[in-house]
Amino acid sequence: MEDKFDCTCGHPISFRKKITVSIACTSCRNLYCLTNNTFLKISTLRPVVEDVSPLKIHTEGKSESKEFSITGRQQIIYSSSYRNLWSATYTNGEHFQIGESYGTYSILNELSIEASPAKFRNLKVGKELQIAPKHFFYVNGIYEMKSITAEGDLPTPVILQPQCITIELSNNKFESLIINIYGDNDIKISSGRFLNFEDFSFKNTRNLNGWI
Amino acid sequence: MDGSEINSVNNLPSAEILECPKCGSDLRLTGFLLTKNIACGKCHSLFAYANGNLKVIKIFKKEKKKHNHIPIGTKGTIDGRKFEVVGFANYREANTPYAWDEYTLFNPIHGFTFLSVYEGHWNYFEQTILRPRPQGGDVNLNGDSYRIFNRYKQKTDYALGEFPWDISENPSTITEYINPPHILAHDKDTNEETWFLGRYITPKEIKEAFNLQSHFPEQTGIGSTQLHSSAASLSKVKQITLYVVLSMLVLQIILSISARDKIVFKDQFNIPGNQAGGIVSPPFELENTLFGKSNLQVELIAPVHNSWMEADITLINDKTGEEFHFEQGVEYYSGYEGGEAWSEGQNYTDNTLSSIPAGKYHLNIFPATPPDGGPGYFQLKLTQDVSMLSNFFITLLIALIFPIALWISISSFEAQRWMNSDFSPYSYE
Repeated sequence: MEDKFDCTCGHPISFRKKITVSIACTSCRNLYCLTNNTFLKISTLRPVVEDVSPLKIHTEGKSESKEFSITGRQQIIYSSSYRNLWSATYTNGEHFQIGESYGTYSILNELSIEASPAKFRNLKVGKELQIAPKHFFYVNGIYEMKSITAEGDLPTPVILQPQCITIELSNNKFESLIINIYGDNDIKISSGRFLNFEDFSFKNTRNLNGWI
Repeated sequence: MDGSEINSVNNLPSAEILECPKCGSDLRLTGFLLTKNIACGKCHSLFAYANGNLKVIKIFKKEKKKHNHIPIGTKGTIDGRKFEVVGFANYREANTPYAWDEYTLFNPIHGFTFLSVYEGHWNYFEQTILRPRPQGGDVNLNGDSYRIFNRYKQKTDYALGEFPWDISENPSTITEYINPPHILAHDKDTNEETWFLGRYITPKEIKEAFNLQSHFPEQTGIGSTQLHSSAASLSKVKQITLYVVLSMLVLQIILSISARDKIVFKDQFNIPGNQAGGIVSPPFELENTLFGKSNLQVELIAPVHNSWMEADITLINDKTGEEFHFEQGVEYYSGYEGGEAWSEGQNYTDNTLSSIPAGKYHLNIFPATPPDGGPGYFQLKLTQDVSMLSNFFITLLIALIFPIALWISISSFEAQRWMNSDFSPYSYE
């Protein structure tokens, strides 16, 4: 079910009832977040930077035989790296994220874990982290966020904290773990698995100009 | 607006041409946000690229300029994936003269890959998500052991084109592990570590991949991941050799067990005073065997002492008249000289005739001794179907010649490979 409201710039914004949490105006890049059942403007976003991603909003694909569609993305830029978190929604309304960075792709879901950032602050590159019995990850990189921006319709909040440390982990089971520590106290952890581009059976990508 | 926004959502961007802020030459931009450095081929400046801006961070010495055999912008296909060559750099192991070239390849879907060439030997690298397990000083990836080969910090001597990270500073430590034709490279600094999985790739494959006719650097020495031309077949040769040796052993055991070792003739003969005179033996029978023919061992014993005795012997089939001629002799000398006793020769000898058909036989013997005396008699013993170990060992030797030669060749090849390593298992004089 779709509904709409008008941006302060006058441009109409369509959103998905009970799904959309954050949405950016395609005209002026104002970012609105759902607060007490109302979309409130919280910021004006910087433009998304050209990162040569083959994906775009409205790209469709398949994961575990279920069809999904991409509705938005967050583009996070670190001092020496970058990451796209594409928001994707299955036809049944469930949603997940597709992590994309330098030609690697992963399916990510946010974990609802109560954890203290202190537990992860001392992690170093190459160190092992056990998150469950016999379930290990290794730290591949620790990055300080330089900027974040977003576009489209997102079923998650866009956290515009000026300070964010991202810890990327993986293991030999093609699993991925991303720990985002915002400021002093906030933490968000996403886990998932790496897949090849071809595994998603993407349709309606950007014109790949013979690259595939 | 800083020139880095998306111009067309529906199309991947074509390479953009920037102007070199130092000399005004064209600089090609393919990776956009993914590009961190761009180097100008004309003024040799290296720029940091961010948000559409170029900031000079280093100027390479003109004399360090290197020729890139694959031009920037060349497109090709490796392992079924299309790539464009976007960067070329000449790196050196810090504080050493060891230098190599590296080409940066880019595909918007699959990211960056690399072609590295040292002394004419090429490796193709892709980043791997999988993390190898430590195994002592070595590592293991998917059950395959990779031996540590090299560890170093790298320095950039020259660059051209674009790069996904800052090549002006190289704080990371690189460790290489090999399992020819594969290689794992571990690049680690305080903020990030990356594993690259590489494989040996021939100049011919690269020329075909990029449709190039140009002359590539000559190969010297043995590449760190180069395979010996017969390395792939060594394990097969080992397996076949094992089967052959086991089969020969089983056959020898069967032959030994089934050997009759039957004495068919034994007699003592006086040597006639008239040297021209011959001896005709009584007849004897060679029995039929499994193969129709059998060997026949002839043992000659004569009581020679500081003397010799020879016999010209013919084995004659009484029915067919077929003859088998051979000579056999003994000699034995001894003495005392310079306070030490010595001896040479013996009064026994044996000889084995092969493939003698069954049947009734006799011997014509013409013995000979020195004119000034010799033994007065000799003994002959003929044994049919004896077990022959010598045949087994000769065949075994022949069967092992090729595998041993191959093993020596591969071992020598490996020793040469590891000469370039600080972690060589070989010791070099």
